[in-house]
Order: sequence, then C-alpha cells, then structure tokens
Amino acid sequence: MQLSLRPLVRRGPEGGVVIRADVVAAGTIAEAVEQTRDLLRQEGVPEPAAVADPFDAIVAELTAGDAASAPQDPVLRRLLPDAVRDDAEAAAEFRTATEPALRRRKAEAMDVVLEDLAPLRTGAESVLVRAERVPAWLRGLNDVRLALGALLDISSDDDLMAEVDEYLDSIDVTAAGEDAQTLRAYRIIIYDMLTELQARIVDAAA
Amino acid sequence: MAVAPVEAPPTVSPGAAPSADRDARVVPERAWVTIVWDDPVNLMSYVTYVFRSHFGYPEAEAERLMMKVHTEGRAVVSSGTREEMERDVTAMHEYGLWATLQQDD
Repeated sequence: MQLSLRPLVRRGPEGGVVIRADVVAAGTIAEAVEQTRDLLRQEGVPEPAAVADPFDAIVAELTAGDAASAPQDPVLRRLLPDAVRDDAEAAAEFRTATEPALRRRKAEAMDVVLEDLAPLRTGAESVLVRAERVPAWLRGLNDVRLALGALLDISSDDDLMAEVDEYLDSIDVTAAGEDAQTLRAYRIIIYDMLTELQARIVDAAA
Repeated sequence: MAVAPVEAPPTVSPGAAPSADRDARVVPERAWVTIVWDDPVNLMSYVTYVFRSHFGYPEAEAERLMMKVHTEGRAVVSSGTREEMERDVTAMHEYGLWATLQQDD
C-alpha cells in the first residue's frame, strides 16, 4: 500500500471541487494558513467603519498615517505591495485607503479554507469545496505560497526540492533539530505541497 | 511566475515603459493603466484564471496577457480612469498578483 501525503483534487458537483487529504497533510496546510492569516490580522489599522466609538474613529483617522508606509516584514510587504511605483506619497495614500480592507478580505479567504479543511483534520477522507468557495481557496492558498516564497526568498530558477533532497541526504536524521536549515527544508516541503494543491484546484475549477 | 526565468526586481521608472508594452485597447483619453509584474511564485495557470475571472477576458486573451507577464516581466492588463485602475489594482492585490497603476505616457 502506498502512503501519500499529497492532497488529491477532482471536480465535484455543480462546479465545486473535492479535496482528499490525510489528517497530517490537512493539519500541515491548516497550520500554514493560520499563521499567514494571523499575521494579516495583526498590527493592522482598523477600518473606519469598524470603529464604533466616535472618539476612537477620530483617533483611528489621525493615526491612519501609520498604515501608510509599506510593512517592514517581508511577508506582509509581498502580500500588501505598493500600488504605485516611484511615488511614495501616492503609494502611501493608496495604502491608507485600501490596506485595512485588503488585509480583512485576505484573512477572510483563509477563514474559508480553514473551515473547509476542518473535517479533514478530524478524519474525513475528503471534503467538497462548493463552487462559490473555490475562489477563496485559490486566493488563500496563493497568499500562503507568497508568504512562504517571501520567507524562502524564492526566485524562479531555484530548484527547491533538489535543495531539500540534498539537505535530507546530508543530515543525520536522528540529530536534526529546529535549526535554520531544518526550518527551511520544512517550509520548502509545505510550499511544494501547496503549489501542487493550488495547481490541481485551478485545473479542476477551469 | 513559477517556472519563469527570474526577472530583475522591478525598479523601472514609470516613464521608462516602452511603447510596446501598451495594450492595443488603450483609449488615449483615458490615460491610466494597470500593470501586472512577473513574480516567481504565482502559477501561470492561476494568473490566467485571475485574468479570466476578474476582467472577464476570454481564455485566449487571458493566456496572451499571462504569457506577456511571464516573458516580458510585465504587461498592461487594463486601462481606464484612475478610479477604475485603483479598483483593478486592489483586486489584483486581493488575488495576490503584483500590480501597480500609472498614467500611460
């Protein structure tokens, strides 16, 4: 019998997709999605509409300038890029107006992914992602890949899996700990899994 | 995009956009454009999907624009008023594509 970590995807009824993944794969994916979502929900300036108290609203407006500069964190900088090049003022203005909603919508897409993954994490063999939820899955998985891509500092000609193979050949598995190289290999494996999953969902949804 | 040759970090000044980059459908009096930049993570199939889903482009046009991003490092994907381009850029960011708006020169 073959043990496969790779999630499988096929077309489901009414434009949905069926995702089959074991509990380990589902948990690994969910963890990566949660981390990215939590990062997006941190440190954000509240949206004006979300502030109930008028005083808080004024304070939020006065401090909204804090959101104007591009995030220092490389992951957030990729997820929330400048909309205007070579014009810091225009980029800051655009960011102030749009970033809170962008963060929220990205985080909400990840909530959809996590909701649908939940049954797989408790032993279901497969889940049906309904057609109207497929776009949130694609966006959510893509953002997690972008986050990992930023952490791994990926460029297109990197052969990441070869790097992992080389690493796995080089280590004494009994001694492998939480060092930077192990973390990088782990991230590459998750990135690769998410890439394949996203590609399969795009194909199944097309 | 994934499997694309790596593109230099996009540090091109807005004035440097070659005219070949302009889309045939650019209307002269509506002088703002949305540009999508290549990126090593986004899948080619996903970028095509985004162009179809958001802009409603037919498969062939969506694929042409995706290939332009892939091979040239960027492509003008829409044009219109500044407000329309702001909406398009925001939507592209929501999809995770790397997009900017600028006045077409």
